[in-house]
Amino acid sequence: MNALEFLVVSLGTFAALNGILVLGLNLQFGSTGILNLSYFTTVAVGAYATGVAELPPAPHGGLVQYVGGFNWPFPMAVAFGVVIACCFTFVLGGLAFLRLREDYLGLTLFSVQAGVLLIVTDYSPFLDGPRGVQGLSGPFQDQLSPTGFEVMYLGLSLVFVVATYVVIRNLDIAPLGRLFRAIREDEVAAAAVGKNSWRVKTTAFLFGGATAGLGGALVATYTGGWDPGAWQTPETLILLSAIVVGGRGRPLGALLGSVLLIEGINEAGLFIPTLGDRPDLLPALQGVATALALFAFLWWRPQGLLAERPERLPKAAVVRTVQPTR
Amino acid sequence: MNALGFGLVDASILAIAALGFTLQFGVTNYVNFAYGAFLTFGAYMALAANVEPFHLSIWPAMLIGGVCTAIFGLLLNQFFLAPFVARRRGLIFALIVTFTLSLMLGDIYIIIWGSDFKELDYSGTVAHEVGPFLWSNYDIAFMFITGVVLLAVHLLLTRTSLGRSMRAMGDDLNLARVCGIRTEAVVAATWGISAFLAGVAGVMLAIEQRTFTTTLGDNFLFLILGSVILGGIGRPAGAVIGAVVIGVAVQIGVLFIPSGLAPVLVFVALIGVMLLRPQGLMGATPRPPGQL
Amino acid sequence: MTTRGAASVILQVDGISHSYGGLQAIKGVSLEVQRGTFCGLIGPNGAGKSTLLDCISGRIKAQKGRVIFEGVDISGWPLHRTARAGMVRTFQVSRTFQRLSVISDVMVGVPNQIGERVVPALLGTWREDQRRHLDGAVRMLHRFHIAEVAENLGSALSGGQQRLVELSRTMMTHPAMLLLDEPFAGVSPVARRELVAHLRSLCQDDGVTILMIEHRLDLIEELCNPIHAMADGEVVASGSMSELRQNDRLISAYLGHVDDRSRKSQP
Repeated sequence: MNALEFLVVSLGTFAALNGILVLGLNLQFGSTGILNLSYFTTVAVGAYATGVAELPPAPHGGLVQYVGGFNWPFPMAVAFGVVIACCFTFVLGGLAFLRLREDYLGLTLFSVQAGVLLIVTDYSPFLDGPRGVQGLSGPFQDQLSPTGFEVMYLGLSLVFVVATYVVIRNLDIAPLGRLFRAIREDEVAAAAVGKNSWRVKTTAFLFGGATAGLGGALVATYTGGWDPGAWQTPETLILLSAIVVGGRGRPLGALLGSVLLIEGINEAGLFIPTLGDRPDLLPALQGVATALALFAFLWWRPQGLLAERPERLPKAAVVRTVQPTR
Repeated sequence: MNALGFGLVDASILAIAALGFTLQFGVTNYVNFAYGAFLTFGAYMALAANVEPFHLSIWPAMLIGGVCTAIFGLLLNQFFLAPFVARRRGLIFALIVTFTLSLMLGDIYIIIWGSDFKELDYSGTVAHEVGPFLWSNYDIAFMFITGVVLLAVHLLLTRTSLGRSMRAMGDDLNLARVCGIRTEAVVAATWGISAFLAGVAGVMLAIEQRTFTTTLGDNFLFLILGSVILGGIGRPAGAVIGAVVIGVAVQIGVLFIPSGLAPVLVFVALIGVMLLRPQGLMGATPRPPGQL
Repeated sequence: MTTRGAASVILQVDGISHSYGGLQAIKGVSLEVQRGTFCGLIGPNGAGKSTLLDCISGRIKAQKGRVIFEGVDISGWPLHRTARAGMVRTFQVSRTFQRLSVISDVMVGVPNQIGERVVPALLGTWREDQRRHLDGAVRMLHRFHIAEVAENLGSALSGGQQRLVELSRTMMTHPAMLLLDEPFAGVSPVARRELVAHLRSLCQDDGVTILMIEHRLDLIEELCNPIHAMADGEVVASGSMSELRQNDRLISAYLGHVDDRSRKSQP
């Protein structure tokens, strides 16, 4: 595989993995209206958990330090990552949904992601601080050639993103999806007809959290590691922008936004020559571009490119509205 | 004892920052996640005044940092935030906008100033023993400045019509409008004041930390949020009390736990507040959350 | 909907008190509502009517007192729980789901939908159940004459239509009791007559017990008996309209608030 083919394959893999991530946030934010500013922290939780599950125990007194180290195989490690991400999400939700005012919710979630980032970065015995967990591997990585691994992982990611899409879409078109949106629009009105908004929000939150964990686990094993540099607030912005631009609340829209924004801006970046002695310039410019896209859509078309489609009457009922029964 | 002393210094900087944050929230009723970027802006403005190209002494540079940030905040509100809030009413939009703004500003700072570490230019620090505490001349200066600022803000809120208008808006926006308060003007002025305080705090922080980069304010924002939630969001007195508690608690806390775990203390405070008294020590402003 | 026993008192409110900060909104309010009646709740602004409704429905947790509904002590129950027990309410400003279509909005009201649970949602086994409920919802839309806007978004409705959508959604729960908070506020004269007919039908045809807050005393007189009057956080009188008209305490409480049109005929 030459460099160009490699590029295409890895772009495809990243597109699929980002797709998983964006579907989860779309469920929480787009459909249910929970602005989860700690979403990427959940992704990190999944990544780190998978990491410490897959890696062997940290050597005593060595330079590298982290908790855990179970030496589990890939599937178990990934499952562990998802489970831990769900636990984290549950605790987060429990704290955040405590009948708090709407603005406290945003505040709490923001504070959590800020604080967790600080702790993980500064307290090395936990997850090796700035270095993070390294040396992770995907399935069969030892047996495959680098090319083979790339292709395999592309296939793996596609399978996962399609499966995630199917699950989320099923939730979305079911009455449960309608309930998510009702809670998003007006919690009190939904409660007034007997809907338990805490249960609904927690359900959406957990599914989104599981997706985040899965995405984090897969990215970490694909790239071989996870460190605070890979995970900062800017990542949440990229996902948020993808949802706002692509189609708020609509899974397909979120995927579209993810492909357009993340791949578009990433790809554009690859073709711009490295700007001399300022390697930090390109990511910064990409960040500004992403932010501007978000602002532009919020200002002119907040529903995004693929707007949510309102529920319509089924054909049979339409016939009946023409001939009223009363 | 020294820890308490350092805690008070931290608390001073935190108090100014938290005050600016809570004043703005009290009037606009939405969180400014980009507040950290305001602190950073102040530091960079002071850098330009202090190091290159103006070579002023640190104290005028601090003032300039504050004033420049104030202007920045005013412009930001006038041409960006206020129009957005007017066009897309809804708390979630305001939160997304300020959150996105915080990241975009961080990137813009990198583009303009680069991500290397900068240093302000100020003459040597001298340690003084004041009673049981060990403070440098700068520490003492910071606490003095904070005292002046607190007094000034107190007078503003209690003696001026602007201050009264700010407090009225914190209670109920519609009522304030009905009473003839020019809410847009008050919002504008509040952004200026809030940004000024942020800028000054940012310069202080840059001095205290010796070197700084584009993420100066972002890391501090966590402590600021802890202080205002603890004290009661929208309440100036609460912000100050919260700042003192957090500032002192962190300094004393790191005597017992590894410094990397210091944020855990803030988390404990936050969780405690959320569970036991969500409105904070002083109680939050009564204005309903959706009312922008 | 349960037709429980022969209990004629469906709602019993016992000594409800609640204050906001330092202000006592309601103090020691007690009243009874007989099953199948259409009761009115009147009083000048600030009398505490909405607060009482909020305490009864569970939107607020009353600081003192008890609420007994269908023989069950529902004191302190949150809004969604009282709704599931058969007591639903509407709001002073109609609440519709802005970005949902009317049919979607009304369908939210349907209780115990199979598709609202996670496993059936994932497996897609909810379609048959939904079809039935959808038929019911369409019939409800026809009943309130809003079937033609079934596919409109909540944000695209007039004030009167929003009221009817809210009412339709609420009725999908087949409640035993309905609490209405100023349902006629902001409704045009023509729509008013229609709404009167709808509400009367809910009480007479469906047997729903109604407790309605209203300022327009002519509508109260037309629809309600008995009527409870509040002032300064207390119930000062209960009875028919003619009885209340002779109540001195009530008149003095109302001084300055009286709607004179209650004495004249409708324009």
